[in-house]
This record gives sequence, C-alpha cells and structure tokens, in this order.
Amino acid sequence: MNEQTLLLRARQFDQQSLAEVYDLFSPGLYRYCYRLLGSAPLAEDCVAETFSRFLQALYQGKGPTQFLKAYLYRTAHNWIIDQYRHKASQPIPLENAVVPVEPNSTPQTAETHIEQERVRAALFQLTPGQRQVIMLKFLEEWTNEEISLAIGKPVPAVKALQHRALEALKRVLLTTD
Amino acid sequence: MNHNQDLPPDLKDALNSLRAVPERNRHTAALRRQNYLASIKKLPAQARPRSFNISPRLAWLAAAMALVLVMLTGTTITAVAAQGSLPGSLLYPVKTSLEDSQLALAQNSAAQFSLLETFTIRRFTEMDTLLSANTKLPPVLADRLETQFQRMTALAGTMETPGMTLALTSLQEMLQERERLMTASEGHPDDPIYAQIRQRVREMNQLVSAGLADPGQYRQQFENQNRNSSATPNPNGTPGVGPGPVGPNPSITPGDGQGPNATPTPGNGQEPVGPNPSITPGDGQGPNATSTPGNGQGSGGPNPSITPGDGQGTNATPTPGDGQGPGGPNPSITPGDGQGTNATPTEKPGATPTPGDGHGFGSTPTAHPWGGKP
Repeated sequence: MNEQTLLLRARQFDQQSLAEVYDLFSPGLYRYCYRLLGSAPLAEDCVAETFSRFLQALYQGKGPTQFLKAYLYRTAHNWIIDQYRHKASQPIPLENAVVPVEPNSTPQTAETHIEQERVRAALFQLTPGQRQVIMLKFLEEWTNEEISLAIGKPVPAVKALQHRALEALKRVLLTTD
Repeated sequence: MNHNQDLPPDLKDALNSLRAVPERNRHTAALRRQNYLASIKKLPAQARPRSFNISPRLAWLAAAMALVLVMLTGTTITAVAAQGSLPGSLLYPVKTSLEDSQLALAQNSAAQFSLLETFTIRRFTEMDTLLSANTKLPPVLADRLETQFQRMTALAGTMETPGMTLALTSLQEMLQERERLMTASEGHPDDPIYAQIRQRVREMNQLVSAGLADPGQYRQQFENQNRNSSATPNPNGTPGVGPGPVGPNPSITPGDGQGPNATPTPGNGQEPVGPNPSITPGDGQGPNATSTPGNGQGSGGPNPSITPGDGQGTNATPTPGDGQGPGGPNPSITPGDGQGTNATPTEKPGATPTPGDGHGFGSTPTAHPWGGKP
C-alpha cells in the first residue's frame, strides 16, 4: 500500500491503516527527534505528540490530504521548536549546565557525546528553516523535492536555504571551536 | 542517497556525529504504540464530519438567530397580508397601525396631509369593496374616516395660505367626487353607517368650500380651537379637531361661543338642536358625562332667522353671532356636549335657549358627528 492510499484510509478512520501509519513512520521520526533533542524520553514524547496531533487533526476534519511523511516531520519539527523555546525561557541551574555523561561511559563515548551536544547547540543557533533543511538533507537524506514539500517552499528556495544553512553552521561551529 | 558529498569536509564529521542513534527502548516504544492504538480505538466513536462540530454556545446563537429571522419574516408577512384586509377583519388593526406609523414618520404637515388623503381614498375603496360584497359597513370604518377627516382639516388650518389652498382644493376634489358617487347611487338605505358617511362627506365638502372661500376665517377657527385645546387639555388626546359642520347658511353665525371654563347657563344654545327647536332648554350639561371639555364650539341652527345664541364665553359679553361658525343640522349628534369639565351649571331662569345645532368642534369621540359609539 503506497503512502497516498494509506493516508486516504487513515482519513476514513480505518484503524488498521492508522496503525500502519504509526509503524511505518514512528522509527524514522524517533531518530529525527533524537538527533535534534539528544534525549530518548524527549524523542519518545516528540513521536507520541506528533501522532497525537495527527489524530486530532483528522478528527477535526483537517490534517494532510497528501504527503503524509512531510506532514509528520513538519509536525515533529514544530514540536521541537516549541520545546526549545520553552526550555530557553527557563533559567538553567548551574549543575545542569554541565553536559551529563553516563557514569559507565568510556572516554570515547563521552567525547562523542560532547561533540553531539556541540553540534546540536550549533544547529539551534540557526533559523528553524535552516536547521530543518540540514537535518532532512544530510541526516535523513531526503531529496530537495521531499524537503520542499515538508517546509512548503519551492526547490530553488530549498537550495538557497541549504546553502545559507551550511554557511551559518560552519561559522557557528568554527567560532565555538 | 548519500548527500554527504555536498557537505564541506569540516561539517561532514560534525553532522555525522549525530547520525548514530542509540537503540530505541523496546518496552517504551511498545507502550507508546499501545497508547496510540488505544486513542485510535476511541476515535471512530468520536469522529464526525467537521461541519457538525458545533459548540453548544454556537448552537444557541444559531437558534436565536433563526428565531429572530422567523419573527422578522412573520412580521413582514403579516404586514403584507394586512394591506389587503378590510374593516372588521382580524388584520385590519395591523393595517391602520401601519398607517399611523407612516403618518408619524411624515416630515411635515404637507406630507401628512398627502398621506391622509391617500388613506381616505383607501377607506372609500374599502367601503366600496364591502358594499359590493353586500357586507354591512362596520362602525370602525366610519370612525377611522372621521379621524382622518378631522386630522386633515386641522392640518390644513395650520398651513400657510398657499399650502392650505392647495391642500383644501385637493381634498375638495376628492370629496366632491365621492359625494357625486354617493348621491348618484341610491346608496344602501339599510346601512346606517353608509348614510352617516354620506352625510359626513357632504358636511366636509361644505366646510372645505367655506375654507377655500375664506382661508383667513378657516385658519382663525383652528387658532381658536388650538387656544381652547391648550387651555383645557383634552384627556383623550385626540388631535385637533376640525370645526363643526357648516350649516346651510355660512354667513349666519349664531353660536354660544362657550369658552372652556364657561359657566353654562340654561338656554345657552349649546343644547342640541337642530331640527327640533322645541327641545327643552338645556341646562348646559349634556347627558353625555364624558363630553369634551371646553371646546364649546356649538353653533346655531340652520334657520337663519333664529335668535342668535347667548354666548357664554369666559368673561365674554355674550354677543350674538360670535360662535365658531354655523353648524348644520345633525340630529344624530349627542345633545348637550361640548361643555367644559369645570363648568358649573347655574340656573338662569328665564333664559331662552337658542336652538343650536349641537355640532361641536369637539375633539373627542363624544362629539362624534356620526353619532356612533362615544
């Protein structure tokens, strides 16, 4: 069953199709959320909230009529932005300012973890659109056409956005080095 | 598809550090999936088309709007239906109320007069319709017509001479035509209302002719009338009142000229009169207890040779012929009305009552020339 047929059935509240949608997209969404959030529980929350919003939209007669995958990733991305804004508005206690490292981690894993946090911090200094393009293009490996559907911009705009995003990320990472 | 080749080397390593994702906790993933499936199962029972998703407040609002719409539509339909109603029918009061509203909205005397003319023609048409259906004319038709006559004559009296002449000429044309029609046909002798209307049309015709002949005197009558009305408020609030019907000889002005606070005296000519001069001299108090206060516009009888009334105006020295214009004989008039409410009858032995015609200028139903209901 292709994505469009699945979506049509899901819109008719076919339970099996709705379950299939979850099974098909939740693993990828989890990875996407984890890469940006760096936290398994937050990534699970992000996935759960994404599907909850999807069901709510269908219940209200809204939601996607096509490009289901793009819709789900856009929803997840918006949830992450909301989380980031909420988190940024709260003062961080000094003890939490240090990157947590698991007690039994090796020096190598600790180093990888620190690098991941540095890159995430750099990504969150980009605009949401730039961050989304970089994530979808270089980590989820989407095509420009798929990205254009997810962010609602034409392909040339996606390319331009990608170029500016890489320049900005490079600048941020080199500054923090 | 690997897009990393598009990446600059210094960014490739940085982004690749995010590529590795720890294995998802199976237990947590299964739990989340269960939650999702549980929410799906609730969904079909709740799911419904968006268009029916109306909140209770919105539903109340829609119901209220629908009610208002129905009321407005109903009112409009009633008003339209009432336009074709005839006197005596259920919707006739709606029709006359609408006419009153139109009159209230008219901007000036000329506009009101024009509307009243239209409504008078409408009354005549209603009368013709009822008669052609062999229906007896209801008193409400005569009442309504009389009210309109009174308002028209009063309105004309408030106008400047050119406007008054124009208005009275127009009214005269209508009345003459109607009188001609009513005289030409034998009429409906069995219908008392018809006879009254015919009589009243004739009297109105005479009044209007007199007004056109001497606009100054016509206006003077209304000015006096207004003075009297302001001195003695009319409890019924009926506007203005026209002058009494003109008698056969307008040049005769026998009258009693009773002012509003006049002290009636027996035999002051206020008493009914008309064709029966042998009537017992009145005591100044008509049998009708609700007589119009203070209009006292009774006039002399139709007999030119009759002795002028004694003139009972306030502080006035009775002068023969100071009345408000001669009245015509109208036996149907309620005798003895037109006395001031504050009047105190006093005996005045030896006074010889002058037969008046009893056609007061009264502004209340008691002075109703139709002799209909008070």
